[in-house]
Amino acid sequence: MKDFLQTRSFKVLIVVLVLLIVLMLYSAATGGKQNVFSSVFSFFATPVQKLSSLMTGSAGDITDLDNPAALKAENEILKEKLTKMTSSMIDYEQVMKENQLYRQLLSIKEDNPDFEFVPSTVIGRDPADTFHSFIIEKGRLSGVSLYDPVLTVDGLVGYITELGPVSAKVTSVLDATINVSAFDRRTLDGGTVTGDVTLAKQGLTKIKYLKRDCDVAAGDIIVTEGLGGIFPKNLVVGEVKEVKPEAQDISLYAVIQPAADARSCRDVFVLVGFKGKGAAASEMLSGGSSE
Amino acid sequence: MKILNKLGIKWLAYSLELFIAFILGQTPGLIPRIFGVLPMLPICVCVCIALFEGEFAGLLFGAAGGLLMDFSGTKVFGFHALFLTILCYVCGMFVVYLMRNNIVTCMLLGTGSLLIIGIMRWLFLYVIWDYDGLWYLFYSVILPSVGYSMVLLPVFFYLNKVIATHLSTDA
Repeated sequence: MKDFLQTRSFKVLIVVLVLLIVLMLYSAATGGKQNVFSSVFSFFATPVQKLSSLMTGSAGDITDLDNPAALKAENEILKEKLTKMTSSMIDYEQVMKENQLYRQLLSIKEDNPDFEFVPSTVIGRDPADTFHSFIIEKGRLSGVSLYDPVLTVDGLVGYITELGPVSAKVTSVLDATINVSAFDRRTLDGGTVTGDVTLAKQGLTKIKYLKRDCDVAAGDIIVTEGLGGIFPKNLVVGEVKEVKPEAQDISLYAVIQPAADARSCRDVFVLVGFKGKGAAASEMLSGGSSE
Repeated sequence: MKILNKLGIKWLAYSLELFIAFILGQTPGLIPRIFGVLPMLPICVCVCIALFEGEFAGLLFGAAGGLLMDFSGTKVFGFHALFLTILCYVCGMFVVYLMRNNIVTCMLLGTGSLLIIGIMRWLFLYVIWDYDGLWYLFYSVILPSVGYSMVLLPVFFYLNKVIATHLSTDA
């Protein structure tokens, strides 16, 4: 035993473990900032991630084996589409897709002239994360700030929770740690959007703290309330699938099908500026709540 | 080949293998999700390196692999590195002093390591924060992820066997 404790490998193990514990404590203490190691590493890893993400842009659709029936149906549609498009330009589909994306973005911009976007691409996902957080290829150097909302053309997908110079980590709306004040656009009933382990697996989230006598029903659209200065008002979160009673109290919660799918989104927009941004940021930073 | 070996090409090959496994694992859409989960490739690579190179290399690659996993995650930075360092060290020790290095040992130690990290993730990242649906998370996310990674262990075992045999500094 004494010999074992004096081996070089054991001494190195102890040193490495101490360093890692210090790193963990430092990382926990710095909150949303990327630590030195992460920042340096992201400088090298981000271009590689960007490249691999680009190369697998189309492969991802093919290799998603979760829903073969949907893939088959999609395949049929695509075959039909391909036949029609053979006489068109080679990159017609790509141009159309981009055009559509920017049109939708323009439509959001027209509705909200105060919005300032930074377009970005998803370059990495934590394979072990239950809540489908992801990494984007824009960071502090592109004007992105901590807690900026992240959208797709369909709606809110998450917000920035860790910021580095050239990359940022996004916590999705499926996450149990997210809390977004939101309301039902039809009935104006308010609540808090937050994730749940069981729902996240199915790509769903929920709005909780709905009053017992509220009129929320399946098909209603849930949008952000805009309180707190983190998320602007009227960002679409998703559509109500069903309303259920809470197990712990007398309130209700509604299961939401998010408008933007955090599990598969690729092109996202970071909302770096909007009217009322950061209105209660200091309160949030001291309180630790997201909104 | 001898010159390449002297330049430490074996360690470069291991490092490259680890980095590629990391990129493969976290690039969206590259590896198919099975039961909605992805494998934890860096763990497989690090454990297999520890089996062939012993506890010292094991702990260093364990730390590196764990930090890579932490880089892509949103949880506490250093969490995976801490556990993977210890596990790879222990795996290396097992093979050096107690067990023969073969595919059965690889499956046993690899599965054990995956399971331990899976359980630690579950305990430290979810149970202590009192999330809802903890058991659902365990059997529908943690265990399938361990199973998926386990199936891929032989691939890395034989790949590392080739690296260890053909790029050995003793060759």
